[in-house]
Amino acid sequence: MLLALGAWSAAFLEWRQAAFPADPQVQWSVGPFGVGDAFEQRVQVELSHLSRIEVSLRSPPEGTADQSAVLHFRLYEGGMAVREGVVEVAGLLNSRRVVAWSFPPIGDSAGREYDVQVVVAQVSGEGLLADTTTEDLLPGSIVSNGTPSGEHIDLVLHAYRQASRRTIFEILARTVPGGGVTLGLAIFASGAVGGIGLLRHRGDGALKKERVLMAVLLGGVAVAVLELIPLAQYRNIARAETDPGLVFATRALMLAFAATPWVLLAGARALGRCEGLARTSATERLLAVAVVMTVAAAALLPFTQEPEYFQIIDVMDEGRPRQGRIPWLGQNVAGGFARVAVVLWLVVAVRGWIDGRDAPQGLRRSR
Amino acid sequence: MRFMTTVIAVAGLDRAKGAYATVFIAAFLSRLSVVQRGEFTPWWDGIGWGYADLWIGGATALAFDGSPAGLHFATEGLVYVPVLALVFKLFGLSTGMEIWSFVLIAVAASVALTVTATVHLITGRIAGGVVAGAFVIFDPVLEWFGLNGWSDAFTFLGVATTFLVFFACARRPTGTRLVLLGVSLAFLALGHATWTWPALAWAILAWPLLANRQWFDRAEPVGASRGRSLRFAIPLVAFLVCMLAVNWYLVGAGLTESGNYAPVFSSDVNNQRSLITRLDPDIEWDTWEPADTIRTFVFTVPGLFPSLFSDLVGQQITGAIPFSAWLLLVVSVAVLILALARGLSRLSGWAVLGPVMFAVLALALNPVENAAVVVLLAVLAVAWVYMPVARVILVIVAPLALILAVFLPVITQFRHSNALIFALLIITGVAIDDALARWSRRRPGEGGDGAPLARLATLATATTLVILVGIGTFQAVSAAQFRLGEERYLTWLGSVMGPGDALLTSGDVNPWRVHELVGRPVAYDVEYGGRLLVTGTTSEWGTKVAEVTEAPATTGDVLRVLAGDGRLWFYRPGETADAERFAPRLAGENQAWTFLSLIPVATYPNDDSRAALAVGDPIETLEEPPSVPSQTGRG
Repeated sequence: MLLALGAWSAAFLEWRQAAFPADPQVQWSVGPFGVGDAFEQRVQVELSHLSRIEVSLRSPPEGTADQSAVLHFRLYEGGMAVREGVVEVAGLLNSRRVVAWSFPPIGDSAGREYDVQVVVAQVSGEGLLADTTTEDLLPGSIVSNGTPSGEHIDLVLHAYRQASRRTIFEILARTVPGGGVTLGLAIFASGAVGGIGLLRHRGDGALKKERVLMAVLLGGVAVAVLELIPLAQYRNIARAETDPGLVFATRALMLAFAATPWVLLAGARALGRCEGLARTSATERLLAVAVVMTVAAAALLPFTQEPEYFQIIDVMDEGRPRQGRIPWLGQNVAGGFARVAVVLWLVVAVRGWIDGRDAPQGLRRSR
Repeated sequence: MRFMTTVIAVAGLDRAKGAYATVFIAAFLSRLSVVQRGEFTPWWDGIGWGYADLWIGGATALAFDGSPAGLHFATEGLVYVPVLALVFKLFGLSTGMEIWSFVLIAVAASVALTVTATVHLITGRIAGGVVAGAFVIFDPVLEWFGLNGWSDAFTFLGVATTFLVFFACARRPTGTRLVLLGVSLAFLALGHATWTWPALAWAILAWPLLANRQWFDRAEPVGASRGRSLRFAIPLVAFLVCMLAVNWYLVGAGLTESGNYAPVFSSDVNNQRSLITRLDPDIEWDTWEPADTIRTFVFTVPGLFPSLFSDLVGQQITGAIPFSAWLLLVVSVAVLILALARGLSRLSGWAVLGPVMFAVLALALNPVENAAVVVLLAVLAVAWVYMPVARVILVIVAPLALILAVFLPVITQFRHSNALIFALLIITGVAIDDALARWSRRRPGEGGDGAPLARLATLATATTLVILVGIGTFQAVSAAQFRLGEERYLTWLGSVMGPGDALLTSGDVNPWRVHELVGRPVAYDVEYGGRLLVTGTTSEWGTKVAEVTEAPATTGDVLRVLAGDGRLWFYRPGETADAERFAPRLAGENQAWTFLSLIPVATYPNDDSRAALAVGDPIETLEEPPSVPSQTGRG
């Protein structure tokens, strides 16, 4: 089940994370811009691998229905073009239309300023309007045909890091010493250690070489696929690679996969129940892990939940219910455990259901 | 421990009736103290919104003029107003208000009692019910909206009663109980527009759930009533009969907009407009059609639902329950004991459905937001799998949860979502009781009076009950002392005031009692509109202070007329001589706020930190008055 979830995550894994926290909303439009006209806006990018720009356009109220346009997008850094592309727009109406331009990621875009320029190469009808805002959330102002507008007037522009699986791996590799090699080794090593540990659950006898190799291989694949689940969850979180929640989730998954079989083995040895352990099914072990995960999540919550989540109730003294909170850790640890627990309980329930289908007389609980 | 057990048995704390009585008394004392301190009363909401005037006005019109205008369904007073009107008719306005505050206290205490009784009915044990009752007693939202004169007090009672009756039907579905369930659901639906569709859904769900009661451990076989019988449609029929009867009355009495022949089913139309135009900016208010609602629900809401659900739970459920994280820890331990006791036993397809939904939600939620939401989902996933009763409760409240989550950006408030907290507390109580029972079974005791764990549980329960009553008593005594102290101060203030003087008060006082003690005209709640002028000659609600002069008038005009040849004084409970100013607002909400100085004229002999405060000259004017806090806590 988890592997299926991981495979599903792998199939659809793509990060699209906002390049800056500002979220300008449409208030006005400027234009119309005809052929050869251009408008531009400066942006401050806060993350690496910038690869997508979105602007908001529309046709003028008096324009013909179903207008089309060809736009040249350019991205300048310090006056030098670093990316360029062409976007064709069809079916432009007098309502908001988000036009997206995707380009090869700029690996070191974090902390840099860029000027986004849109040149109207072709347009039908009366030209087109660019949506703007007076929220003044972006640096500088919209520049129309080289003329800056009022300082507080910005183009409605959003920028993203749109990353594929390979780019995500590159991004993550930058966060660890040794880069991709370290990352790959960590995944492989945790998978290998966990896989051999699971093999050991079947008894203390000598392990056959080919079974060990298979366990190592499958363990490595399992960890790699499992890692995709948190990566998919953090697809929309800006600078996800440095978010403590993702860092914890990815490391904890590796550690848990590697250590859990050995911890169980050590416990069984200490209690003299190695034979019993060898007889347990995978579902029983999952049940045990689900219980541990749920307890861990619930036990950590009072020590971690952050105060902004205790709602203000106007008439209460100090505004918030007393929560007895003890702020030791970030709350993502509890959230991470809980998330894994929910999925494990689903697996346990599905196994129980399948067992129930195999034995029709047991579908309903006797009273 | 044996001695303690004997004491507990003698006190009756180990028996249901003893526990019921104790929970009720503790809740009553706790709520009484709130009213005594004036924090919330049927005429004061604790903030200054003044919405209670709507229902008070409707009730006085019905009681004294025979006008049923206050029974308009959209104002949500259909259940509340007639009962309040009856009290006014019997006792008059001022005495009736005093009595009504005790009615609300009793209603609020009954909610705590009912949750205890419901858990006891489900499990046959007391401990879990007492825990649930304790959380209800200390629920800030129940305290707030249960006592502040809003009709939601009756909705809380309706939720509690309906759960109790529903499980009574699950235990033994007699004809009377089934009818009562339908009536109780109608009480809910007629009392508050939020409940119209969830109550209908509950009435429909009751049919299969009661016809097939394998999910209820303590179900008693009732002869021919078992199986899929039309008999279990009685709640739905009773519900529809009540709704249609009231609908018929409202249409017949002209208490609806012209052309609207289904007022009890159409009160949320504007809420729908508001929601849909917000979720889909392309839809205009005037051009909205019911089909837009369906289209938005099908295509827009699913994508937004995870974040809406997270906000609803994080803000108004786990974020609003005192010690919610600790509560979740206790429930999780309890449900895990049940899970381990059942292990990998065979499960039905229904048992899988919950974890599927919870897993999808957990994975769809923003991973860096409120961890309590995901922990709650994990706990509910286990409860769903291993506690059939929890499964049924969650199914019952699912329509309400869906509506509340979707309407969160528009109208969902603490008072609406409190029903979900109530359901969660029932699950908590049941989980605790069942876990204790499982644990006891695994560790049989040696004595003749049960397992040691059971005795320990009894001891803990009794101790909890004693503590609850202790806290309630302390609060009530402190509040009574406070009130007596304030009455002594007011008597003295009356002796300081001149014969032609008048008293301005804040909203957290009993204006009739203040008038009785000072013997001068009382302008009540002058900071939020001057909602009542008590002169001893009027008997109706709604005589605004501003009515002493002709409109249009400013606050200054009103104050000048009020003062006449005498002087104005100001009273707020507990206000010390250090108070330098206050801002009356008596004539229109949009006028600038002018702060008037307060002059300590005479020192109160019993407490030299207090004084008789005379109203002085204007000292500061704000062009824009400060905004009143929102009902949702979301700013």
